[in-house]
Amino acid sequence: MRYLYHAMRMQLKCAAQYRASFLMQSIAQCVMVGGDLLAVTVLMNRFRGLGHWSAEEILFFFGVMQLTFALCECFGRGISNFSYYIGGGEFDAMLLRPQPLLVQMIGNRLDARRLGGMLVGGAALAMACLRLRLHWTAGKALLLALASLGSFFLILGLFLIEATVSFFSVKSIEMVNVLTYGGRQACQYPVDIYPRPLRLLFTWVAPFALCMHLPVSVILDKPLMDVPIWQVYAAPLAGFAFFAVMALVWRRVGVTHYRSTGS
Amino acid sequence: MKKQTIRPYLTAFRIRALLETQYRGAALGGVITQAFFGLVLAYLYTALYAGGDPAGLRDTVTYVWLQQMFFRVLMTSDSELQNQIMTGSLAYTLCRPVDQHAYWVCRDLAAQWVGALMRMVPMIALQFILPLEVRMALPESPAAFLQFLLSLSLGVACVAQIHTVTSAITMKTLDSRGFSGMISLLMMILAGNIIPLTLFPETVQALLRYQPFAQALDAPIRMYQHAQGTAEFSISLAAQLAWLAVLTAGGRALWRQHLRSITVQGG
Amino acid sequence: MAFLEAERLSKTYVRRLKPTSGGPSRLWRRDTQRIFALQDVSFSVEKGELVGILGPNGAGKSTVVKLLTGILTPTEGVCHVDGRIPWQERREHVRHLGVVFGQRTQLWWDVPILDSFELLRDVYNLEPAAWKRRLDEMTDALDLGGFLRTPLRQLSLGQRMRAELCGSLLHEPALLFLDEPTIGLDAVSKLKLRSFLREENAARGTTILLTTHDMEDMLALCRRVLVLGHGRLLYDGALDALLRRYDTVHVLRCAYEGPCDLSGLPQGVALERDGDSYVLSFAPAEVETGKVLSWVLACGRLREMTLKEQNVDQLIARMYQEMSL
Repeated sequence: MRYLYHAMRMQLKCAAQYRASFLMQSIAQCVMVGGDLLAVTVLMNRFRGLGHWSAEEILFFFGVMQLTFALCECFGRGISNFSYYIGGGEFDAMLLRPQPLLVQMIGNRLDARRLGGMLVGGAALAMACLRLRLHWTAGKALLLALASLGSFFLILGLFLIEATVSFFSVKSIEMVNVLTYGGRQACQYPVDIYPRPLRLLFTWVAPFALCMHLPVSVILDKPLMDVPIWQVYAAPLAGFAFFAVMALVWRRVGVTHYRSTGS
Repeated sequence: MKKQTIRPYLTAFRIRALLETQYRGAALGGVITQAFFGLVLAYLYTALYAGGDPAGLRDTVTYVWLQQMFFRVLMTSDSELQNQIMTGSLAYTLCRPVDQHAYWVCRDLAAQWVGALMRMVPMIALQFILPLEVRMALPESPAAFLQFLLSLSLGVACVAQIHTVTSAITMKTLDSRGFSGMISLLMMILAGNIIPLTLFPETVQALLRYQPFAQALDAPIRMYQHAQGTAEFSISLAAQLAWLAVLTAGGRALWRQHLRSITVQGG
Repeated sequence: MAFLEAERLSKTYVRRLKPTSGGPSRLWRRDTQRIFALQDVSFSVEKGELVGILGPNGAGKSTVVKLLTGILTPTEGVCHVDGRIPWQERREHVRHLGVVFGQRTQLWWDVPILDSFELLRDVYNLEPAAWKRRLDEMTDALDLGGFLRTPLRQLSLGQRMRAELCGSLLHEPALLFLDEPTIGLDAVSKLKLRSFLREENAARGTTILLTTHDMEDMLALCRRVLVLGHGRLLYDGALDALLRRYDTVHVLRCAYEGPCDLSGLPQGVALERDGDSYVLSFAPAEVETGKVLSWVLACGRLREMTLKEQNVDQLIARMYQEMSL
């Protein structure tokens, strides 16, 4: 733990060495998420809502997704850019350190530029809250935290699939991108607008519905599923489970493959 | 004499086209990604239109699919050029007795066309197995299709010129990551890839239709959906041609200026 | 059991080939080729030994290092380092392991090297007091004091290598791998580095395995070498014995002022005349160099003389040639 903290601080120090470039790239991140925000705003302006969701509610979903995703890109860059480490020999260096590999991957690459994305996502969320005049309770705040945390690990799990694939072929990364960026694109809207196959995919395979949409829908007082409230609180656990499974696959399939074939 | 001068560019086109056919893995990855995005967007619009007047749904879904199908056209495609700029080895290619700007445009065009054609075939095949409600429509009429093809060729040429302008700016700033990320995002939005330009408020649309990025795919897609009358068609083509001329002239000027500064500074 | 024991290590890669011919089936056909990176390599190293690994590029040196460090697992065979199998107990194994790659840095590029060392303290979970003591010691020995607070990227190559060494020794590893540690260094830096390594080895009994193309390193540091070629272990033994085996001819060229008496040429020396100078060649294994020299001096008034030893690099080149590498 002390190692992780120290390693991340080190990353910030490194980034601080190139202040101008860092600032530029943070702004670029702002603009990029801002582009998505613009898209949602234009759509909501044209259609006034989506299914039984109001424009503000859609903005709320959008904010949660962008904020969480930017957090993942910030802390999980070592996982999402894993194919570079294999090519560049950095993974070998990680194998030579007596710290868990996943901890090293997270600690070695803190991408603070994603703060830009977080800001825009957070602003969208705040704006939605203001317009919705949500009645906040401790339970709802807890739900929001759980939803973010669960989705955070779910997305890291998706990154891990990419990382596992990159042990086998660096070229097929593009194909796996669909999981992460496709997941973000599709699930920034509540899952109930999609037909059954996509709903099943996002509920039971990549469980954005459980981690994010169900708790958020309860916060908005429009529950997606008719389930007891404790199950709503428990649903984000699906994200942790997803991450755990993918971490195991990464280790057992990916790392083992690497060590037996080498590079 | 004429034939001799054009040959290097044809060869550049041919070699880059052949190279593009080697990237089958990337093409497959692109098809899967674009198909997924297309499907998600098609269902999103189905849900959006379900709330009110469903009149424009078919057009919007078709718009989405055509955008996904020709997505390759928009991508800054020649990583070779980016590499050469960043590593500074572009200075070496100056030794070749060809027009640099035209040479790289030929390569870019080859990558765009061949890449797009490779992705188009499976994307069209996909349409036959999709559920009816998210399938794209056929062109409105043969005339509409012809207009579309003509406009598309001009559009692709426009994008190739936009690429040369952006790479000229990269040459100056030498910071490819932040900048090209922003440019490609701008391109995606303004070309109508993220949301169809037809969905923007009417007031903005008048402006959006005639900005350079809209010439790439938005203009041809509008023709695919509705054959245009002579007047509208001429205006549309004129806009494309005008942008093509402006971008080409601007790109050439920027390149010439930069390449001269290389030779002056000696790299 | 020895400190480090490698038993019949083999490593085979399967490489996929892009089919270049063969009609439409080449779109999905996969041709493969087996590459033997290492075949049946066994050796053992005692604690405190300093062993060099020699071999041309592609001989399997880095595969051996990757297997012993636990980065890779062998296709066949096993090795034990201090009783542990590297790839099975990775974290415990690397805790007692130091690695320096001459061409790749393990420290952080943009921050002062002291910051890197502090992070390494946490990476290896070292006691702060013990870490401080060790750091001071290394700072003295490697003369790092002047640039502890300078970012790595601003250091010269020699300073950088010393910093790397410090970084890899802070946790007092029992086993140290050095991969081309002197590559690109100037003569003074090389000498300093060598003497530091000798001292580290003598004072702490750190076992050191060294791969290098620089024969001077080998001569200065290692008494024992392993020679690898085409993935096989070709030689395991003393370095000077190996050199003697390929060391054939010394050439001595001399010229005299005035008359000279060239009688009584020692046995085994060939004499040739070249203009106004004489060229003597002999095998140092058969004729003592000193004996030849004193004969040359006795012959007359010497104007000039040069003795050419065959250079070690040439020797190694010949050795590789003879082993048909």
